[in-house]
Amino acid sequence: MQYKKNPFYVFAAALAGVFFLQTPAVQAYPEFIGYAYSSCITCHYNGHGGGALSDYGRALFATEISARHIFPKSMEEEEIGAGSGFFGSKQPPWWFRPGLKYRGLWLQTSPGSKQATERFINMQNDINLNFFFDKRQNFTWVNTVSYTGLEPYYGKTNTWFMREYYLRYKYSNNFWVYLGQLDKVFGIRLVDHSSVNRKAITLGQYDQSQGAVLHWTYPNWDIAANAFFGNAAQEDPEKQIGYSLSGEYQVFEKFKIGASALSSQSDLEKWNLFALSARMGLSKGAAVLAEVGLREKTNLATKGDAQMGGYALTHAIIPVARGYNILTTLETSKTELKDPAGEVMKWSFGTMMFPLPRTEIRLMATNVKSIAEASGTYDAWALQGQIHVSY
Amino acid sequence: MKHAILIGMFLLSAAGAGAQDSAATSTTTASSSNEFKKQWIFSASTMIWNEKLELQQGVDIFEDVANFGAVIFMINREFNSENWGVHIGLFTGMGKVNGGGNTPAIDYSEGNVPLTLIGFTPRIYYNLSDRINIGASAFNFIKSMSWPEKTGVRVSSGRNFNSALALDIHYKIFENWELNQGLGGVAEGNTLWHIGVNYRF
Repeated sequence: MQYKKNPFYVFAAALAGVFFLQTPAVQAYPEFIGYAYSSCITCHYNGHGGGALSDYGRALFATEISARHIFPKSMEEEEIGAGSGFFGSKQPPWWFRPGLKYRGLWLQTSPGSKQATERFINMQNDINLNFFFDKRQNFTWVNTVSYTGLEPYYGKTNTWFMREYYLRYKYSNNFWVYLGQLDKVFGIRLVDHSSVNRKAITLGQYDQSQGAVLHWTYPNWDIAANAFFGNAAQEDPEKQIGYSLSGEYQVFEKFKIGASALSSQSDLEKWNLFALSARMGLSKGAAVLAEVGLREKTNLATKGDAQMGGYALTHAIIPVARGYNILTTLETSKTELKDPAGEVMKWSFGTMMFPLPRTEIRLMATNVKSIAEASGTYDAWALQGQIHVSY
Repeated sequence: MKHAILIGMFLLSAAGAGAQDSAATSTTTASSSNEFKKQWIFSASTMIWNEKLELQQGVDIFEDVANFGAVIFMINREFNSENWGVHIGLFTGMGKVNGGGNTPAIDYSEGNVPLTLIGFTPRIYYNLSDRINIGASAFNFIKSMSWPEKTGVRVSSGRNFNSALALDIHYKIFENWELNQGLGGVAEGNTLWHIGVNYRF
């Protein structure tokens, strides 16, 4: 694989140099930096977030993120946390931690119009099976078995598949190694895989890739290097082979800036990505995130020219009461920067609620504006309801 | 990509301004007493909205859409109490407009039509915390633009004086810097967004 020198690399390298000298990217839900939980490893087995929750993550979810309507006032938070395990307060053996994750989406497009459509999508049906080879969890084997319904997983529907499987080796508190199939390291890992910094740039819900991640993490900074070789379910010509770097630097408490770069290529497409990001916790539980990036895509199958595009997003969470939050995300993207048309902007706003332990409900509206070169375009609207169950 | 540029500005300013403001971020903007405090705020924002585009050919009138986009610069005077406050803002801006192209009966579409704006914006807000306030802004503006003529077609979009109501949120990101975001509707019923940065002085 050869990467030619071009202005993109010069720009990316210069910016990366500036940021990596100080810097780094990570988190649980990344917006939980508002609770001062700025590192993903606090709650997840994966140091860059996503996938199964650790025991601590489960307890934190129950005692700080979720509402406590169903618990009597006299019940202590420790007791609620202690009951957050897969079997409640009864712990499985030390060498095993199971988990279940479900995400479902009700989507209505063009609400109120004659063109309105409505459907329900089972987005995620995961079984987490995590094994530890020692009590200190220095060696951990993480597996996520998943079932896809009508949403195709590399062409297959209604089938079981292995979303992720990797060995996590904790060399020290500051250095971690991951080997196997897992999410690629890049940017802010929002749970919404339709965000401009996820699926559209090869980082979607099914874009886990075989490879290795080296992750150095310190109190004020972390940096990760990821070499990857494509998803095992892909045909060889489709496999994106490449590398990525990502890091964050804590400027001060609850404020991190980061930078990420990725370069990969298959027989069909070549991608180069670069992003700068920031996450800031405001008042307790409130946070604002931002990411701006460049995306260069080359269609190798058609021998087309490289398309240099860009994207940006801001994402904010504002707690109203424990377990109840306002959520707003503003995104913009363009596949070709020099093209006067083609910019798409989306504003999603609504609520993110955790009314019960292990349960998340989102009620969102999205307003989409598209910019044409020399004509007007009507807005597009959609309504969404989501339910997430993390058991 | 005006939004992207603004977000980029935020990220870059964050890198530089963050450290020096670190100690100050825990301070409050609101007064600790019930007396009003006054402050000036300068903001630079992008504002985009839609208006109905009316195309008339002979006695036939067709409805299309126009997309307005502008960068606006606003000077605000703020009066705030412990939990709530008001802004009175004056702004000017410039941008471009695209419109038409969605009416098969009339072949009219235009892009990059120059636009200038001047207006005033009262805002009332409530402090959800010492770093977040949520409010409502009434954008009242006069726009100056003219649609290119096409033989036999009369074109108009909205009134030259227009109003929009937006619900918005201001996030205090550093001691003197805020991020603003707002979503609302123009009087004709089309959506309006604004996003930008505020500087307090």
